[in-house]
Amino acid sequence: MALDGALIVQSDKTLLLEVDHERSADARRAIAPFAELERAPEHIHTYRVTPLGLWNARAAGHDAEQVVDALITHSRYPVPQALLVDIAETMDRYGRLVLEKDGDQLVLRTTDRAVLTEVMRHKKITPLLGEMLSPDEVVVHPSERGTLKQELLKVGWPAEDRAGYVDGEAHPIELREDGWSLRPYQQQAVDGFWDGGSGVVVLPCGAGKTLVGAGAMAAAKATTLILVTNTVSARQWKQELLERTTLTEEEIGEYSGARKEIRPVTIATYQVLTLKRKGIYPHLDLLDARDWGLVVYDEVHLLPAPIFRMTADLQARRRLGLTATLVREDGREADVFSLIGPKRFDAPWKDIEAQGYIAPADCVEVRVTLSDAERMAYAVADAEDRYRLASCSPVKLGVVRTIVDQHRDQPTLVIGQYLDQLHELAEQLDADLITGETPVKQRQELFADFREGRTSLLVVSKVANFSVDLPEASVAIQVSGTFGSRQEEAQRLGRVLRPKEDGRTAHFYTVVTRDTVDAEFASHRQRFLAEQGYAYRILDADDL
Amino acid sequence: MNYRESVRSLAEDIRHRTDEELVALLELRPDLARPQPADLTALAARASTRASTARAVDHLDLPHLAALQACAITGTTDPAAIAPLLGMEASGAAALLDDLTTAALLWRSSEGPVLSRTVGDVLGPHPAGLGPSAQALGHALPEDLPAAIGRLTPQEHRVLERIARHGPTAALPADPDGRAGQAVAALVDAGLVLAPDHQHILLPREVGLLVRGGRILDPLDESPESARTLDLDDVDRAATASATEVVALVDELLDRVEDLRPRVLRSGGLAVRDLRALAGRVDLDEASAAFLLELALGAGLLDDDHALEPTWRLTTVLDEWRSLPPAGRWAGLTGPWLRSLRASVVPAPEDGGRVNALSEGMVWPPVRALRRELLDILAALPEGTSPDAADVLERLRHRRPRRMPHGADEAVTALLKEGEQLGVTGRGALGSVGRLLLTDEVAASHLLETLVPEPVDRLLLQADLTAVVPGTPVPELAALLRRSARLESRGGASVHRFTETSLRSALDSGWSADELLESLARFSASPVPQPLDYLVRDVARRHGQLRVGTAGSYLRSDDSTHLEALLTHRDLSHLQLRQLAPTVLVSPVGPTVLLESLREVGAAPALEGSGGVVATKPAAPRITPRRERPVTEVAPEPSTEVLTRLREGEARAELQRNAPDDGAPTIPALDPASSSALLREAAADRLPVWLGVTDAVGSTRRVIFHPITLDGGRVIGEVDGQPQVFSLHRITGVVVEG
Repeated sequence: MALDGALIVQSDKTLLLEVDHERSADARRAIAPFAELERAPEHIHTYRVTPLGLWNARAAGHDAEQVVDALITHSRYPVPQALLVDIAETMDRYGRLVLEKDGDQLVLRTTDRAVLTEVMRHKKITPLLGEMLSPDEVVVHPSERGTLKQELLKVGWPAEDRAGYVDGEAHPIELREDGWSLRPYQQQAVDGFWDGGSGVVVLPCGAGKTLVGAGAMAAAKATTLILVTNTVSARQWKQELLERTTLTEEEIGEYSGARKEIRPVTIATYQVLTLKRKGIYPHLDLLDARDWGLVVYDEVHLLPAPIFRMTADLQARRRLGLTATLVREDGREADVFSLIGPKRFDAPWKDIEAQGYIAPADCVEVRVTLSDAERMAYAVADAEDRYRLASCSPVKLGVVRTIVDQHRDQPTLVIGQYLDQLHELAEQLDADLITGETPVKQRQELFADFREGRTSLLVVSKVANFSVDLPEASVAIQVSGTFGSRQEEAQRLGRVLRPKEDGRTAHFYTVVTRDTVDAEFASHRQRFLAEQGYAYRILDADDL
Repeated sequence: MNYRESVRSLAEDIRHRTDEELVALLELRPDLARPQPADLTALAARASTRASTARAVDHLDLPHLAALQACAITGTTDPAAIAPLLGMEASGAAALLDDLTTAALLWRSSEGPVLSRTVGDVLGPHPAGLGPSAQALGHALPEDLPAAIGRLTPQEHRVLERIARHGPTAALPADPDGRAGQAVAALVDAGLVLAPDHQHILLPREVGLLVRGGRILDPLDESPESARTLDLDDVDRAATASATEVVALVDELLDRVEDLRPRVLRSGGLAVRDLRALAGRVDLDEASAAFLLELALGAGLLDDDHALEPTWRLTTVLDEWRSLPPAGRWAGLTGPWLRSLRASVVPAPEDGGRVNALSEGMVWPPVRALRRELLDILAALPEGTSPDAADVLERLRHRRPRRMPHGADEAVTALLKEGEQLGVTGRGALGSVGRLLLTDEVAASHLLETLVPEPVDRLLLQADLTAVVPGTPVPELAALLRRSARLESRGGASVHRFTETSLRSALDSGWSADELLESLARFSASPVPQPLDYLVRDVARRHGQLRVGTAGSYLRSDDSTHLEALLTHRDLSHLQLRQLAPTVLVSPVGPTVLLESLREVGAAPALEGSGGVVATKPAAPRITPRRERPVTEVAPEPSTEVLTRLREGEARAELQRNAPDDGAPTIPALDPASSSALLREAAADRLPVWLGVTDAVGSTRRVIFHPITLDGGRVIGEVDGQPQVFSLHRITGVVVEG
């Protein structure tokens, strides 16, 4: 124990890491295998230790002793004994049950009879199992491999899956390393995944997740199904694969709302797979369209629920999950663990920092005050009208103009939710407006102009703002729009807050009406951004 | 030692004991000196009463008890004879017998130590669970006993062993054809067990002893395998962590009590629902929360306010407690715990109900002695030894075999857990602080002070509106955060979050925005983050924008638009607000309703005092805790003084004894218990006694009496060959003739 450690262990199993501490980097490296980063504001980063995190660590070959040692070594204060015992006990639960192939049969084996007896008596698990081969072995119906793993995890006895995979239809894929090569950590990620069989690789944004996917494909040399979040991402994948591998245009198919191509390497969107008509998923057949040798899931933390159900039936195929974070909004981390697989690789923090994970973005909340008449109107308004009243205040117009003037000639997006307000803004700022009603052709032209610097100002609606080809901007001004889920917000802001190539600071302004529900939503945004480590300021409109 | 030619009774033995021996006796059996007996004869008489003897036997530890039992079984007091039964050398047995003699459970006759008859009665008909000898039962045992036992089947042997452990009698199994029934039948056939009637079986002493390895005392395993030995530093570290944690937890839990104001049940105590709510808010299980509340109650931090509708409230002591350093706070909890008659786990009530926390039902007197004894047991082990509960229980049984209260095993587990939670033990072993606590509470607290990390006066303020104190905050900082932020996470550090509500409550209690920011900046190494600064000022700006008066329930504001807005507010119609002036509204409802309603619609009114300034919200008033009735410990009179007086009495008695007379001795006044003890002895020894008997008119006469038996408060015997019955309460004293 060092009384000057960088880490403080809390009784709610969070770990506080003092960022400015001289040995914070060591501590961070030591706890990264088993703890998930929850919040990263300026001084103290909060990690959480969960059973899943511990089992992930276990699956990655760490043992309880290492975990306990990491805590004791870096903790500033004595670590409560109960917590250490709890950690050791939790980690010990992984691997007591093992799924293995025995000839043609899939069997669940145990090193601890009591555990097998306990889980076999569970009423949701009993129907998944067949006859007992010996007191330590029981047959598992091959179709229930995924469900069984899910249920075992729910009762706290995660099974280690060593039953192996089908090879799938072979297809030659090589990396074309002309003038570049996989970075060492990317290679480690590929190796970690391949040795583990199936699982998730965690890499920060911009660390080259696609390359890890390509590396895995080159290792598998088999037909591959790649599941991505949206069409833009699908195109990016395709582009990257064409550039970095021996794959040709003809070998890569896109399976989305627009096109339905099934080729040796098929890139499909979550959206098209989860499309439901008359109670059935018409595109589900894609999963069986070929004898896939590898299934890649991009952005695992966004994987929609129906995909989990489909994945349960894909347990005999190798699965690679790629993500920047294991934390899910819906709390279904357990399903990722049991159905895709445990974490196989996690980038060291140093690399994350080097990658500019914390973008040099400046978030400013500008508060405006309603005029007296507006306050009256607001006070007597019905609850459902209040948000619109508050966020569409004409006071905001002047503020937006001031901000736009301050960033003249920088690519600027004004984002809003209410069309009336946007029309007025566009008119006053003399800018083009893109809404959901704008024809695709016109939208593409406007975006192209913006991207190439012919125009520097666009007003876009929330609908347009979700459109996949929204260009990057260095200034974004949000005038209305509720704070949705953290994911949604992150995605939206990500467009603007992405680190700029020339190192310029990106600016994100939110114009908020003081003392109204508008300010309440803003406070959620503030907390989210501050926890992500962005600099956040609040200004009065007069101080601009 | 100057024995007379023949010492024939305990009384005589006692009369011949030295001062040192008598002092030792009085120390061992303090009940003998209370009230002080008139002389040594009276002392001896009292020592041989059943009540005093039973008490003395109950306080024996296992080796001494076994030695006493061995005397009763063998009928001798020869150390060499009883040593095999105890599984020790004769010298060890002799030492035990010496102790028992000192305690006057054996007395020294001219032939050697004698087991007093009352002791035999107290030990019962089957001392050490061994039955009568085969000879006494008129039973012929198999010739080669070990061989006969060796021939038994495992099942039969198990049954035999069971009877030997829990015997010597047992009920016959209900089903004679069952496995146990057949085994018993086989044992009876083999002549190892007797069936005196159709319901019972009896194990002869010889068989019982043989099965038990010829011993009635199992030696205590001095270093059991189940016990771990830990590094004392590790122990201290774990204990210190627990001690810091328990102090922080009690502090936080009491905050929650203040928020919740749980009511006191009519039967006393805290409602289960309230306990659950409190436990949930601090993220603990109910049992731990109940224990912490009991600690707080013991320390006087929490009490019933005895109002018409009583609630649990915090006391004035709490503020004092909070201003202490962590070690002082810990001592404030631990001292009362050590002496408390309240248990955290009490045996379930007979009606099967549940005992509420903080209720009188948690009082369980045996717990205090038990707690002390457990700590003594831990202290007696080598440093850093961490025994398991079963081992501790075994040691406890060894120390007080006849005084194990019902439910002791649960109590031991609970008490060990309490000790661990309090940081008296760490990882199951007694820590340095815990060891010191047994002898000197103040020193223990000082030692802890050197072990706990120095309280921190540093704060890390972050832009996500949290503040992190990387350690235990100094009291001033703790108070600041308690008032202005909400605790979000606790442990080595504490994480606090500033919210509008928390800041408003800080402003309500009289802080201004500047004061608050200044205090925060003073503790913070970095400047106050801009968003926090803005939030504080924003809340302060709105705070007090509206001012509500108590005098007439009015609402006024310099902001007439706001007032008008409120006036026309749909959700405020029930207030029937009227506009008095552009800046003043009034309402017929009381100011509280007005205030609440305004807040419900999102306004931030402040209360205004009669002077026209914003009234501050007074801190919740504290109540005075009920003073704990002090437990009066009767300080025993120094045995030497008692002895001096005894010697004086004895000298007088001796004088009278030696006075030449008609052979009738002076009869000392004795209490009925002592008299009956002497009479019982005399009846058993068939000795005549001199009785002092008071007649109906109150005059006392002396008679020579041959007691035969004592029964129902009367003694039956003969005077001059004629049957005679005396009531015990008429007998003033007894002197055994001879």
